[in-house]
Amino acid sequence: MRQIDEIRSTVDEIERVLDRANDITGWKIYVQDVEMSTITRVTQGSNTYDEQVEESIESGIELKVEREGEWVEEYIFGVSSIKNLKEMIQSPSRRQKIDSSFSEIDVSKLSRVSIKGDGYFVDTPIWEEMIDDLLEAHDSMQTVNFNEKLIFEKEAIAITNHYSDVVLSGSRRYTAIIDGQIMEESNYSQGRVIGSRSFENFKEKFDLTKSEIVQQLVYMKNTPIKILREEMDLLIGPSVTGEIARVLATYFQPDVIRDVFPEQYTLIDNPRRVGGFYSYLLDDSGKSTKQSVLFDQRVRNRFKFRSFTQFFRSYRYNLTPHISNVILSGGIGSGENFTERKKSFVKITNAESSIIGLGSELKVIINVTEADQWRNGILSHPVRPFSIIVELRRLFSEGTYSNDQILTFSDQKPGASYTGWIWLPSSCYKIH
Amino acid sequence: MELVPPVNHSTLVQNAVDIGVGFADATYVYKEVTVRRKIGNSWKEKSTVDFGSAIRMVAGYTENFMGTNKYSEIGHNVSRMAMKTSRNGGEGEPMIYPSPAHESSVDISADNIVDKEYGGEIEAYCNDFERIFEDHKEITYRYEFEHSTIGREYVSSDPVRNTQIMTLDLLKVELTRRTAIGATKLTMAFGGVNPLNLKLDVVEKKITDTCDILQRMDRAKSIPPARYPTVLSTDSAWTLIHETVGHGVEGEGILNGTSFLRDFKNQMVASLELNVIDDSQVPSAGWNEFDDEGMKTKGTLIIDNGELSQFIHSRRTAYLMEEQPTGNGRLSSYLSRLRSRQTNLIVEPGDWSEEEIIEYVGDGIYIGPITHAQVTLSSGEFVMIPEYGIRIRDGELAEPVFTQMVRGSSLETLSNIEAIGDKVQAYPTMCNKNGRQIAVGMISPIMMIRDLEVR
Repeated sequence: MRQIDEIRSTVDEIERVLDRANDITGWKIYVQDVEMSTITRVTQGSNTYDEQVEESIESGIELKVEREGEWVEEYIFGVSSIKNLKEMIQSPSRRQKIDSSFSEIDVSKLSRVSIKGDGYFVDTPIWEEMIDDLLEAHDSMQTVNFNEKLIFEKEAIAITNHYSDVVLSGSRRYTAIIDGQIMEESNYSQGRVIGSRSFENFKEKFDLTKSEIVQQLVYMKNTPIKILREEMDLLIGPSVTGEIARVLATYFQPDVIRDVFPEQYTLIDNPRRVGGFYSYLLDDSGKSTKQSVLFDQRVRNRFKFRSFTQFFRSYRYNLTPHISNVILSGGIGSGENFTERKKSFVKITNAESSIIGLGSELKVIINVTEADQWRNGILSHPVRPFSIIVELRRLFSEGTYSNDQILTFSDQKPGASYTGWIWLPSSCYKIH
Repeated sequence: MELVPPVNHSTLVQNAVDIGVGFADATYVYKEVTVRRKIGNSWKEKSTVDFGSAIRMVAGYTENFMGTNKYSEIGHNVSRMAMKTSRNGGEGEPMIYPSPAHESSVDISADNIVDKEYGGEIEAYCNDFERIFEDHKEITYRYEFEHSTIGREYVSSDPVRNTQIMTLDLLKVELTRRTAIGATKLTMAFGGVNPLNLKLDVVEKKITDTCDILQRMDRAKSIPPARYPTVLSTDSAWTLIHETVGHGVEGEGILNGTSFLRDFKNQMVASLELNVIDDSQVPSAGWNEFDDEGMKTKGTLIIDNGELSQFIHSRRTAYLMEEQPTGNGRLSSYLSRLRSRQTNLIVEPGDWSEEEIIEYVGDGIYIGPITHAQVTLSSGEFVMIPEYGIRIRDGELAEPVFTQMVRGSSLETLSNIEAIGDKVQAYPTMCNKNGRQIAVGMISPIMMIRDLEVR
């Protein structure tokens, strides 16, 4: 049975149970169905590899019940536990009043933004056919350890209530991650995610990216050197700037963000970016999404509170506001050109970063895991892992930011970022 | 409670073996949670019922996983996965440590402290609990009770079957102190599988101590960044050991070569004072009689007088490293793959009383509970963000101070441990690794580090 038919029959089943209960005057139901398939291949040396398949198939319901005019109970179910629903809602002890996370939604308006129809969930054979092609062994891989991951995710949700307002929507997403680096991500969906992309060039792009990364890995087998002093300028990659942008946008108030960025920067959260990694026409509350400006010098006084227009959740968690595609812009030139203009520097391609401190004294600790040293315009050596500490304000005011928009995201938190490179003079950081 | 899975997992596992995989196992997980929260004078209640199955198949080197709560097509999905696994893995011996045959059932879902002492009247317990705050009017507080019943049934293609049922009772408290310069917030949790941890006198002592600190925080100042002789509280000492030693010895990190401890077995990695044990038989939040792949659990001595004596393993990492499994295979939910994870991590007490340690330090910093900690496993660099610090002057605890972070290199810090306290405290806590959360027990005394960077 297709996803859309399944969640429809689930909703019907719940409604039948609720209809039979005399004292229930209203309900709100959120049904979510997610299927995720991940294939990871780890290549170790001479063409030996380990391929792991991980599949999760889950469906769940969040239900709120109104008795005699008051929203009193809240339930969460794995989908197969609906059979418990009948006995639970008939228990007379459950009469306490509760807050309702649905209260932010004007449910009476849901039907106006409804997307209905089965056309959104047409099955495609692309995934199964694609895997073998994409994961074929690469010629240069015999000497390096290497991992690649392909993720396929499809999701369908239904939001409905006792007025029979309904929102149905769904999405599909294919992502390739090669040795920790995200390949140009491709979305294939109708309904929920904006901007469908063709898979015609997917394999070519995948092979090209993989080939570049393998060359880099072969080079990284050279003896790495140790950075001991702050004598070289740094070229800091989007893995760091993206993490900073996402953390600032998610956890910090606008006045703090204002202290960090000079006036030429803008920080925008745009759930409607065409082809964006976290683009949604409708959010999980059923509302239409729209862009929000988190920092822009020209309109700074208009934004006193952080506010995202879109909400995300799973059936297990309450509705919470969250970032979608955070875009930090305001730089000049491209990061690749930086390497042509400057002669000697350390290029940081992969790092973990954490922001510490209070108010205007925010600092970022960058634990560099992958970097290489360039001397006189030539790639000279890989660099051993090291960590630096930089004041955030100096990072953006004294560093030179490029205008690239390169996608990065975290496995653990929702939201993606589109950021560029930063050139940081040697006087601005300290090595630990 | 009786566990009644919606499908027969033995049949599923046998089907996979018939198709050609060398080994298959399945864990059925049932979880029922009730969260009761008091806001104003009214109670809010949220109920969760969730169950599903985690199915694993091993053929040769290949290990595949499927987690699902949709049983309508489970037979079809298992067969599809089995065909994929046997095709990739071939017919060689499955690379997983065999389990001795056994069949057993354990049920420790005993009544909690509220039922025992208050006849089930949660409101009576709460009235007593709220009296703690009568002397702390400046503190605002929120709290909730979480009562979970967790059942697991494990079957495998080896002749192994066990079921395990437990209850977990947690009291979560959030304290806030508002001042002119902002709000300071502290959170804490009590309970576990052992209801004694919910006893009111245990709860009262910790909350009263914390309220005293919070009331003095509005006069707190920042400290100059430097390396200080440092006393770590129970919470921060345990967090240090959990992040550095605990995550450092987990089988997958050792096997993949991503852990900084991979080459240190049978070598000194810490001061002679330090002994660390992982033991899921202790009745704390990480209790398990059997782990999630059917192995009987036991205590594992990880650090023996400063020497790294053992890694912690699941059956798969143990097989691949030619070592013995330690009963640490854990599932965070039925939706994610089994990994070797910690259970109850115990830091063995030393000979020093708290007063002796603080007097010995003379001039330094006492680090309070930790809000966030992170370790870069490949290098062993760690960062911990404390909720507060207390200045130690002339061998006594003086004024509270703001501490932004504590950081250092794991091996250097572990070898700088000079003194370990003689009293342990036990609290439940959650460990989140790669988005996979499991309950672990925190059991540790305080400890003193000779030289640690605090800013």
